[in-house]
Amino acid sequence: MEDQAISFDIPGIMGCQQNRYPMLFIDRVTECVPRKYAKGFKLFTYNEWYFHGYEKTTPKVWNVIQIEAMSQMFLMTFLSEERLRGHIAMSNKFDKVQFLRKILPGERLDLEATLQSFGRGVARGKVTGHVNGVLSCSMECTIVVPDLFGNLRPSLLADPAVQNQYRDVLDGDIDFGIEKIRECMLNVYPWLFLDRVIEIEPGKNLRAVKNFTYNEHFFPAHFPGDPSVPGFIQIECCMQAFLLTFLSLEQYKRRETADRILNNVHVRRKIVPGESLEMVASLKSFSRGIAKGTVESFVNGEPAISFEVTAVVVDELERFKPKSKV
Amino acid sequence: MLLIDGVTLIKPGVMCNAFKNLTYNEWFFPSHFPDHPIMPGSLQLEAFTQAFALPLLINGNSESDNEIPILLAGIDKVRYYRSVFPGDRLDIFVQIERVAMGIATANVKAEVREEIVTECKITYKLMRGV
Repeated sequence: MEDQAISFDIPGIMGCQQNRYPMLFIDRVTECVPRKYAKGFKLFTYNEWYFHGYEKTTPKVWNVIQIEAMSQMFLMTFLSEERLRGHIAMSNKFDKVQFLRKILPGERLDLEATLQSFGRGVARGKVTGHVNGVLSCSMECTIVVPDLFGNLRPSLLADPAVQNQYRDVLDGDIDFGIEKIRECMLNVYPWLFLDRVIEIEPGKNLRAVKNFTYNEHFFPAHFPGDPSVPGFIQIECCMQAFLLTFLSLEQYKRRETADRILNNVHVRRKIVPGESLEMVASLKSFSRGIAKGTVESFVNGEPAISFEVTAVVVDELERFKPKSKV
Repeated sequence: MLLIDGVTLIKPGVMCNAFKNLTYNEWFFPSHFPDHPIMPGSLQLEAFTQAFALPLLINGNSESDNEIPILLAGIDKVRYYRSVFPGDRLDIFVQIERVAMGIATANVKAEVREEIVTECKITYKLMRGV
């Protein structure tokens, strides 16, 4: 028997998942068979908050926003099922995340998510995104429904010994605060997710800190009554730490960058307001405008998000591209 | 407008230790000030009044009607010793001095990495039955 495909508008989507403005990144689900697949789209408009966080005149859709849009479409593959509606879902793992072209405001991202397996609160699947019929982004992901899986949350300030460790780290202070970070990066509020660098060897590695406080714009919407840092914001924090490993080199300061590939993204820990994320980024190779490396991160000494990344310095890469092709 | 991220120790009617994380991704930093972000002193005071309200409000009968149970009556002797920057954690220590005749006063100080940054005296008017 053929399954009946259903569709959702915004109120319908909000009835299934807990994401809300300004953290809801899909507009319509056009075709969906619960437990199988979901298709729909996200329209981008310049009036959205994240377009205004970079000192460049040509705005683009951040790659982590594409990740979030893809995950939200993926959520619809299982949260659309009657008995699962309204559950909170947390990102757990992303892999083989690819970004193939720049997406601009005014464009439409057509998303197609397939659920490969779902059991005991753990969902696995694949998502692709097309703009004008051209493949623009894709990933594999694992998402967990904590209500069904058991809560991942550790208690805040649980162990005083761990707290002291955190203080020691901050005490070893070098003078590399927000002013210096802004000298190196084009990012501005509300898309600058670093507060301080505590150790740095430009061109090699660095250790940076980002504080989280309830006064940030994403907490009230993600989620009401249960605030935690969205997975894509965690990725972006670590990404900015990674970019700073080479943007801190004199000749690369304030150059435009783009991330291209993310692998083995593990979201190990829920992060709540009041906690600080300490990120350790290493640049493994850097030539012809292509940077490869890894980022690990810790909260109170416990491992948090980590991934492998490939990013590019846009105009540097241009110089090395074969010129004959039109 | 909630400017407290956590409470580490609280004794109703006696004291409260709370903290607020500071990060550049807060709305006041880009404009205060463009090339030199620091936390506005007035917002520090707001965080202090919130930390002081907690040990007064969790004190016993919490009938949830709409009336405001306590009202800010005064802030005195405010002193700022150094600036608070993005990336800092502001530890707030509220020591209640006196609760009598419908008035509660407390000494409040704030530290960053065990170094005092701000102190003041806060007075609340207790509306009824708090």
